Amino acid sequence: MANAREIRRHMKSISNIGKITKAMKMVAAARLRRAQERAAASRPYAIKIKEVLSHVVADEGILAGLDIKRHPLLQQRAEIKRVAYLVMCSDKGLAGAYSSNVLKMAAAEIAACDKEVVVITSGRKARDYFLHRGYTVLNSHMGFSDRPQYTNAADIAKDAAKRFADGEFDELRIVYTIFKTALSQIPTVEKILPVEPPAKDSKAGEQANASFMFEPSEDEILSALAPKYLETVIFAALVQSAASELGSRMTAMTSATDNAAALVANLELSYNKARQAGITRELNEIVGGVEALAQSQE
Amino acid sequence: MTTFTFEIVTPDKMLFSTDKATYVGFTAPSGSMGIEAKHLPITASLSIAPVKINLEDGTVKYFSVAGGFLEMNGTKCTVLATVAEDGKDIDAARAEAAKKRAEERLASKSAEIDMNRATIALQKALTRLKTKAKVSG
Repeated sequence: MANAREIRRHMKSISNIGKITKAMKMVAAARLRRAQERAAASRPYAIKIKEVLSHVVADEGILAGLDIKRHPLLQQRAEIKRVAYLVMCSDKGLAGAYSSNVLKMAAAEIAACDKEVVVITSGRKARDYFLHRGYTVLNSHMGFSDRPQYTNAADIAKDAAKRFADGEFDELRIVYTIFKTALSQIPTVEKILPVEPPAKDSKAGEQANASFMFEPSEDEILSALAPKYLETVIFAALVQSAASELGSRMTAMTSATDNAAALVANLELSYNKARQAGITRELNEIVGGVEALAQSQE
Repeated sequence: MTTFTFEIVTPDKMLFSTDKATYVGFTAPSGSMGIEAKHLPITASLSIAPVKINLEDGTVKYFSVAGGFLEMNGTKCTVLATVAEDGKDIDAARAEAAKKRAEERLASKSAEIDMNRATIALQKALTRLKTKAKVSG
């Protein structure tokens, strides 16, 4: 058994780690609340803009009359040669399995994809992962994974739209994490480019039948709406990912703090045992010494 | 009077929502337009300008909208704006300062500034001032 002083030192270092993880947990919890509010608040806009765009694109008459060359974001390419994955995860670690879950999902998707694959990353962890494994990384964005602003989304969208229009890839899929609760986050893949008309189910069908008037013209609305739509989808994903990251970090830090406390309790027991053993040994020695002395005097 | 649902949404939040709107006035690139309930389905792009809403109880509200889209599907009208503000929340002093800044930039005509951006900034500031004036006027 280790001696009492060593155990003491070990206890001290663990309780210091515990203090740090506790502080990180509280910071994550406070920011998670804000991120959650933002995630909820950004949802109506995302849903609405999708709806509006669907209405514009759903009417085949409108689509047929458009010069598709002027709307590169809507262009369905006849042959999909290259698929781009936009992978969103965190800049920093210590967030439990958050980043690795997203990356695992992305890797599985990429492995299952029979086309040529390129990657755009958001978050330092994603960049490191894909660069290290030799994927073609077109661009990496970072520095905002836990507090994304709309302008961040706009930058990513602009870059992706340009590359898509230039033919660097024919389809864009996004891998991000949907925030359910602090304990459950779901990695998800969605196709975001080219923008697809919605499936003709009963509800969408009824809406598609209402033919819309356009002011000034469908052409101009589309060319303004499509990039906005892309921004919105990316922003929504960024916000969801940020909430997931903070939630995951909070959970991880909570269990780290609990584990530290349990370890300290365990060590305290060993420490007390070691201390007691020391005392007992000393007592034995004294008693033994006294007896030896008494025998020698007889 | 027939009413319809009206909402203004921005990426940050649902700014305003009512189901008692009777009239919405806005500015499209081709000029001012107004819609009432049962208007034909329309999708319009919005210029940087105030949007006016009449409610059933006679109150009138103004919002400054820095460009975006409006969709009316007969019973529901939605304004999608990247940036929008309720007229009564507008800080006139800040808008005034933004207007001055934009004007100075435009006047300086130096090569470094982006004329397009400065013009848009000026329009935004003017719209906010106009909206504010309408609310308080």
